[in-house]
Amino acid sequence: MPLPWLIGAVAVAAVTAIVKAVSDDSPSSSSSTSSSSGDAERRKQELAAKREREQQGLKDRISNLEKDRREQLKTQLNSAAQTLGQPVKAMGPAKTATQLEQAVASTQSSGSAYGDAMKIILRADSAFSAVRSKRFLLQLNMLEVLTAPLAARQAEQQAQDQLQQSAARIKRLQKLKNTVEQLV
Amino acid sequence: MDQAVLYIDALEAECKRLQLQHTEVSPLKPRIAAWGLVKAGKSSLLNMLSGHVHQEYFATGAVRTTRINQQLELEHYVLVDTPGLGIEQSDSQQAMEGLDIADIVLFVHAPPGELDEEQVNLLLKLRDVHGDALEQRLVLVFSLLDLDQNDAMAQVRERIEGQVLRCLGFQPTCFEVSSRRYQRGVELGREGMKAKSGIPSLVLHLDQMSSEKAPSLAAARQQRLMQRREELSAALDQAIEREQVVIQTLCEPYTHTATVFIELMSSVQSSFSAKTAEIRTAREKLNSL
Repeated sequence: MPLPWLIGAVAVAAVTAIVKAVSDDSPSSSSSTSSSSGDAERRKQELAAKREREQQGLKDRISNLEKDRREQLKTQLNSAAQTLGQPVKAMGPAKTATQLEQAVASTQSSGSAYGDAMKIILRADSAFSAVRSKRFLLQLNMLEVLTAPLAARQAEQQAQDQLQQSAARIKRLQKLKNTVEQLV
Repeated sequence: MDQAVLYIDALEAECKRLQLQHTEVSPLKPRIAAWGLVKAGKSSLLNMLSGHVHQEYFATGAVRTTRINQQLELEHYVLVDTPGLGIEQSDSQQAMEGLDIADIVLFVHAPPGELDEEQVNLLLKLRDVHGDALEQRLVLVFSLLDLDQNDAMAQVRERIEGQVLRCLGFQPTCFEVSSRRYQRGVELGREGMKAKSGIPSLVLHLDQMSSEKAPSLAAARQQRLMQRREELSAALDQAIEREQVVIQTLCEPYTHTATVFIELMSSVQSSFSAKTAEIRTAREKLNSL
């Protein structure tokens, strides 16, 4: 091969090599594009997994909190019920979380036989305020909604009868007092 | 019947008596009421005092005859015969009514016995009704003098006067009388027998007391009514207070239970709310993911 042609061929080869080398470093190359999208996907998946883990963690936490809340409610209700000296049923497991929340937030007063008897007894005592009486009946209703309505016992019935008799006597005495006051 | 109801019945009876006496037109003469136990000789005495020697005005007999207050107006005063105390509740109520309207009380006792516990209680009741004025209103009469044997009456009288003094704190004017002796004296026309019966002296004393009381009679009666009104009012207040104590005693165990229950249930609600808040926060966080 004549020398000028040889020089020419070497030069072309060198330029080609340089161009190739340069183009290998460029990101816009087809091989580099495929590698980048893989990373993003991986990162996306990691993120989703992380969110799922967080969601599961929160769900577990909510479930545990609800379980705790139910157990605590059950224990505390039993303890409160014992103060009434009444045979109180345990809180049923069938109540949903929403039902529990509705029962606790209820603004209704007890309408059970025990509630009615207690209403008369508590209101008869002027030292026991109407507000506290109302509060007792609300809380009693909450207990009864979560367990079962309570029956009035003989003791409450007797107390109720005696109170009614006493109230009738006071009414009679006050009437006499009015009559006497008019005698001037 | 319930003691409390019986007591209110008694207060109601007193209230009705007071109402009646408040509205009635009282005689302008003093009322002299004979008061004492059954068969003390009250009606016989009043018959003699009123001159009903042969034909009795106030019924007498072997059994108790006076069941309601009976009045007889004389020249200077009005005599009131009351049922004998200590047998029946209704009789005693009538007698109390007689006592209420009396301006002068003849407390009639029939010896030979001394005053028994019931009579002492009656004297105390008299003191309650008339207060300090009783000294000027009370006359103690020992009836059935004709039953006196061996001058035992003098000793009995001494002991009774001692009892009355201890009971009332003063010594009222005392008369010993015998209605039967007076009656015999009238029948036989023997002034000495009549005088010995003690009746004429008692009549004189009552005439004198009546004339002394006449000017201030209306004011004294009004004052007595006011005093009784105040006493009844205080008794009613006390009875109401007692009933209120009964109510509080009955309610006490239940209000205690309710108080403890409220505390525990408030704690239940508070714990439940705290847990519910935690759950809500967790749910909100979950929803935000």
